[in-house]
Amino acid sequence: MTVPSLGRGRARWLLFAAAGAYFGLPVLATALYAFATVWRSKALPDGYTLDHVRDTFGDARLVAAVGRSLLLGGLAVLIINVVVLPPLYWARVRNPQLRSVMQTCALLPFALPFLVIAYGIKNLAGANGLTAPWSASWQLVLLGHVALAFPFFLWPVDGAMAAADVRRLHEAAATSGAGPVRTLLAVVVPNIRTGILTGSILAFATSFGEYSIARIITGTSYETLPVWMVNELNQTAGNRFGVAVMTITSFLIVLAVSVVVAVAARDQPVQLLPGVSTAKETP
Amino acid sequence: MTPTDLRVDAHHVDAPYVRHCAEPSGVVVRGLTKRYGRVAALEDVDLEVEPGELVALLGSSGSGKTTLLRVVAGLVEADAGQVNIGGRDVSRVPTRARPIGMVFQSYALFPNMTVARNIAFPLTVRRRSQAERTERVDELLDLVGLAGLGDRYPSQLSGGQQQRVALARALAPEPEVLLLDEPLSALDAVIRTGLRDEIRRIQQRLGITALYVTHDQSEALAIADRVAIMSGGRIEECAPPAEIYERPASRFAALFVGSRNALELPVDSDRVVRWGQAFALPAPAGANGTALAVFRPEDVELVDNGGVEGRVDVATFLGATTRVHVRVEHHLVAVDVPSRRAAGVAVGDQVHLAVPGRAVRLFTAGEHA
Repeated sequence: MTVPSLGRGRARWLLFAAAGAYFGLPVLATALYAFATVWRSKALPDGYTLDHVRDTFGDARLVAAVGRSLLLGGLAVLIINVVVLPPLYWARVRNPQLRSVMQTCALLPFALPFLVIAYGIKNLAGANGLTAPWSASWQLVLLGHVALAFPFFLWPVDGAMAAADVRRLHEAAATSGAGPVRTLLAVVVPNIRTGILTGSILAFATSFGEYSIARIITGTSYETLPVWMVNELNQTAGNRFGVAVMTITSFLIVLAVSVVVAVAARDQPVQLLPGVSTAKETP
Repeated sequence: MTPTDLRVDAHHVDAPYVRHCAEPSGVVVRGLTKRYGRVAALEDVDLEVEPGELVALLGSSGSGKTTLLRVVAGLVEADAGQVNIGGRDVSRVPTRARPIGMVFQSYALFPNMTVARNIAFPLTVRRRSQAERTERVDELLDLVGLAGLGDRYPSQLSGGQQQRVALARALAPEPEVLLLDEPLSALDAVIRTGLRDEIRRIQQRLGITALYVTHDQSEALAIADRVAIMSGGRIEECAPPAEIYERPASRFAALFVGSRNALELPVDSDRVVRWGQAFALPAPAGANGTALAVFRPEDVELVDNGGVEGRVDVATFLGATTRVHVRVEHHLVAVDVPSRRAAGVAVGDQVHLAVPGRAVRLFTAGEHA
């Protein structure tokens, strides 16, 4: 029965190659475009240059947009950490209902298109005198990003808490005399750091690549990287090479960070979705 | 298995003096009740643990023993009742402020900290100085026989070693009461008895009051000053091990401890319970129709004549003794016989059994535990 097993082996490689091509070719094409002098009607560019890279990073408007996106992503991650970690820890050790509420909230952003959510946020903010002055502000964009990105933080962190058996650690810490704040910072966080890191990266990437909310709430007054990219693509004289350069740069950064996290996480398995708790249930 | 797991006590005889300043405090529990929905985990439980005493809470799963321990620790809030430690009502005191140290079945060490930092954690929380912490950690590592392993991480230790670290961590802040929740259940049999004896030795040396939850009766009998037998959320009986073993006062304790023979026998018209010629005893008060006679296999003798007659069903060689199961009418009676004597007994043989009356405990029959 060697023929079927050979066939299975071949099928496996074929599938692997197909998947590789599907995911890899667009990246490769974008990378080539970022360094191409001219690329028309041929399989490969006519020539290669570093001019686009130099021009793109020399563009003050783009640098400012990247700065805004980094700021938004960084602040969003910070806020999400502060807002999600304490209640999720408390839900695990004391009040499980809290967790159900958070899980439900985490599904809401996916019930509607981001575009609809963005208009909803803007209209809601503009509907009363108290928040109307903020209805086109970057702070509102930040809040929107927090709401959209927190599920990507919640899931891996919840999984990590299950894997670390946070409840048991909490009891050990409490009988040692530690209060909840110290337990969270000194015991829980270090033991779920891979989950926090994974979640932070996912949340950051969500915010960094988000277009609808920034565009709809602030128009073009607060140009983030995705808003800049869309602008450049829409204009006839837009810097398309620059868009390719930024796409590849973002891709490489995320790839590098992922590799670092994967290496750092060897002793702490990442659990992307909350699985069955290994915690000993107490009667 | 590592050497420390099999360490003999000799090492500790000359171990340095270990400070344990806290005066031993007693634990008094009054009227504790805890329900989970309709199920009563604790039903009006009273218990007094003397200062320096080790009381084992013995029972099968669901008996309420773990719940009782967790209520004393403050990890579970009781619906009613009071917990006193050292004369102070701590019922409303949060776990972190109770004068306790606790050891868990699953060790529950902090994986991100070294052994030394795990042990020092209760002291760090209490803002003790670095010098004091270092001194105390060294002292405790010595006490539990892990000197030199302070820089390891929990994942680099065996189960037995991890539980020693957990014990040291629980003792670090010199608690008034030590709570142990099935501390040996996750360990191999060989390590279990060794660590059991060591926990007892350490507890007696420090003179610390301790509550020890276990489902293993031999563990409870070996380690405790008194054994509290729990069932259905109640303490059925609380007495020293020898008393529980020799003269169980409750029917449940009699059946739970020691693999006893339990025969339901008729109460005769003269209110005497007879088992053939083996024994004849006055019936317990309130016994109507039948009584339950309970006796241990080692108290049954094989005699040449008299007693009751039975047929050997099966014989199991246990080393010094052989357990012979004898069928007497519809009862199957376990008899422990010295193995040399049992060599002459074959399956199917006709034998005579006698039981000294003082070895038999009679209870009212009917209720089934």
